[in-house]
Amino acid sequence: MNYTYDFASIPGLILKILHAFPLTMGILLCALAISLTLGAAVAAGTMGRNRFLQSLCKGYISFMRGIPTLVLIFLLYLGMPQALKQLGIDIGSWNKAVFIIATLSLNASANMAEMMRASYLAVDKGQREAAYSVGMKPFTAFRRIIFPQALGIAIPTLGNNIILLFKETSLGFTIGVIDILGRARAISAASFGANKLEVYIASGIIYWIICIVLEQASRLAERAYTKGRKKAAG
Amino acid sequence: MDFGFIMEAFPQIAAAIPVTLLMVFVSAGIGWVLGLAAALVRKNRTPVLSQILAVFVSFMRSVPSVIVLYIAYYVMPAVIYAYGQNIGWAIDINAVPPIAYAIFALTLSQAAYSSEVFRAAIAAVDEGQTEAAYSVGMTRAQALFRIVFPQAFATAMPNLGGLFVGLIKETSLAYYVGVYEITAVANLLSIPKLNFIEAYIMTTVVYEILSFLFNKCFRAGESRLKRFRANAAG
Amino acid sequence: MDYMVKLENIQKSFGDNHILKGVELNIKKGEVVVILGPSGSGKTTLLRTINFLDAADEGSVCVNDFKVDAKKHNKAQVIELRRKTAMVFQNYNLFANKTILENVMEGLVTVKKFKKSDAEEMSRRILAKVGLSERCDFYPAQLSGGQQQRAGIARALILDPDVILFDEPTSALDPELVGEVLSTIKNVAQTGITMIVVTHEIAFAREVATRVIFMEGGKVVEQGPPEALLVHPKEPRTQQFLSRITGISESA
Repeated sequence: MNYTYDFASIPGLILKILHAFPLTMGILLCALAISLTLGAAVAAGTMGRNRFLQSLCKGYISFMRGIPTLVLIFLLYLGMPQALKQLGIDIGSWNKAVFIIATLSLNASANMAEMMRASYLAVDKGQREAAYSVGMKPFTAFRRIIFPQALGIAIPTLGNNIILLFKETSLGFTIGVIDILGRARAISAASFGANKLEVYIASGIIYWIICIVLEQASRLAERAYTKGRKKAAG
Repeated sequence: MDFGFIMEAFPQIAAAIPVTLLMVFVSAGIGWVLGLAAALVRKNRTPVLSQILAVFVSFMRSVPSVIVLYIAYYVMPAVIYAYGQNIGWAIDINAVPPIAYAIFALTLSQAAYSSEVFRAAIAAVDEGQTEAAYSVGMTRAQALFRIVFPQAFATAMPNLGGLFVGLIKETSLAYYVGVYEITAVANLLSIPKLNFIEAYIMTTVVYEILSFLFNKCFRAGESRLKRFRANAAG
Repeated sequence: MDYMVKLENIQKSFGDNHILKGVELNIKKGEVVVILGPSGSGKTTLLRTINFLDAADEGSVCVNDFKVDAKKHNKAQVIELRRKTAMVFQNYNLFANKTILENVMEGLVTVKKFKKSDAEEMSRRILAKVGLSERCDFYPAQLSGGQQQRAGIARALILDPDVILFDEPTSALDPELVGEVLSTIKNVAQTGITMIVVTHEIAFAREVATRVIFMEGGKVVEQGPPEALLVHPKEPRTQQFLSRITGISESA
């Protein structure tokens, strides 16, 4: 048995794999936008007056937190088209990226909803009372007083959630989406699997670097946004 | 719905639960001990070692689990083989079951994630607690084990619970390195007659039940560990 | 002359901040020494160098004939020294994860290796003495500051140390709780145990201390019997400090 590796090929592989960067980012941004919207609706539901809606939204969050992303992908990509076909709807020809975006959006929306709920509740009660006391309507109070403060609280968690979401985009390869990991595997397959390890290390490095960039961006955003509002240090 | 398939497949899927749980318990068991040790090394700022750990933690947290699994799957055989040659043994690499690689990768990932949880939890214990322990004559180890850790664990519990349930979900990725755990078994059973909906609904139910049960366990553990906090006990 | 506590040339800096500038102190068995001084004078740091919670940069600490040199101390010596002393903290620092009873038992069981049953009996007895019989099974977070501090005193007392170090034991308390803690400390003083107390309570110093020390700028400025130092201080800096302090306590 012989194991020989060509680690010098890694930088070249990284550049090749990076061709898939735009698609990965596209998937990330779409999933981010949808999960934030969906998350906001779910968060509102958990805090609303309607008891039924409350438990429905809480159940949704707990369900999404219990199901592995991989299983959700299979459910949507393999299971759903089958089910819809029986109803006469054919979605089998849809772009695979749609399914991965749908999966990631559903999955991330639970985290986003939890984040929004926690940040909203973390804003001091007195803030709303103060807003009402100067004559603001509830919506105005939310938009001008509560939301900006909740956003400041949410930024670090939001950064974390975006990083989680970004890492999950890697699961696109399981249904044949040619994103970063998908492309890495395609490159490896083209050389009949000879450089599998190098390819995985190369894609690992790409994810690592992008995550570090996202982390720094989130830290900068937090600092810029909360400047002067938070006590120094801490 | 093909109920015949469900009746036939469910016992086989359920039979894979122990495989999933084996990965979960071994990875969390070893990984968390390593994570605690890593947290202490980084807290003490042990030179060199703590910098290496910081890089390791950053890598493990940034790279998608599936890539870590693949890297372990392709690196470990070479390492084991080289080690075997070193000590003069001819180890048959093919005899090493894939689950060993999966456990190895998941253990390292749990070590990285839990080290951050432990680090924050230990930092949250008031310095005065350690000083008081020293003032009654305790050694460093006594102060850590009798005073600091019990308080830190209470703080860490919710995050550890999150890690644990996340780990259950992550084991589904071991499918890609050839482990016959829940998702793999369901997938294989579904293929001959394309019973995707049935197979993945069953899989979902199994994971939801596991997540629910372990969430309950951790919640119970948390309230037990937190009984010393003011509002917890009567 | 044998001393219970003997400090020689204690020097301590935090970064560029020279806190203690060569403190010498000899304390006989059974003395109750109260250390006064403005904040930043180094009195708390001095106390903490005695049990090496802050290791001095230079000098030596000797408790009951066990001498540790600041410059070449090792872990075993520090632990031995800490086992000869006990400390009562400003913020009580009761072990948050243990009940009041367990807090008091902890040192006996873990450090002195007493049997659990013996330790429990002794702990209950001492908790009764500080008036906490009813609170044995409560956690610290469930008690008032005064009760916590009395438990802290019991935790120190039960170790039968050669000296107890009190670090501003009443500073964190609500005013109405100061009295109960001070009277507990008074009772401890009457047992003849050697005590070093850092405090701002002048009246307490006057009543309980056998000697009062005034510190400023990292040095001992003046020391003597309470009457002499508190009523007829010789040093102008002591006079200044006392007039400020009593001014505050009269207006309060």
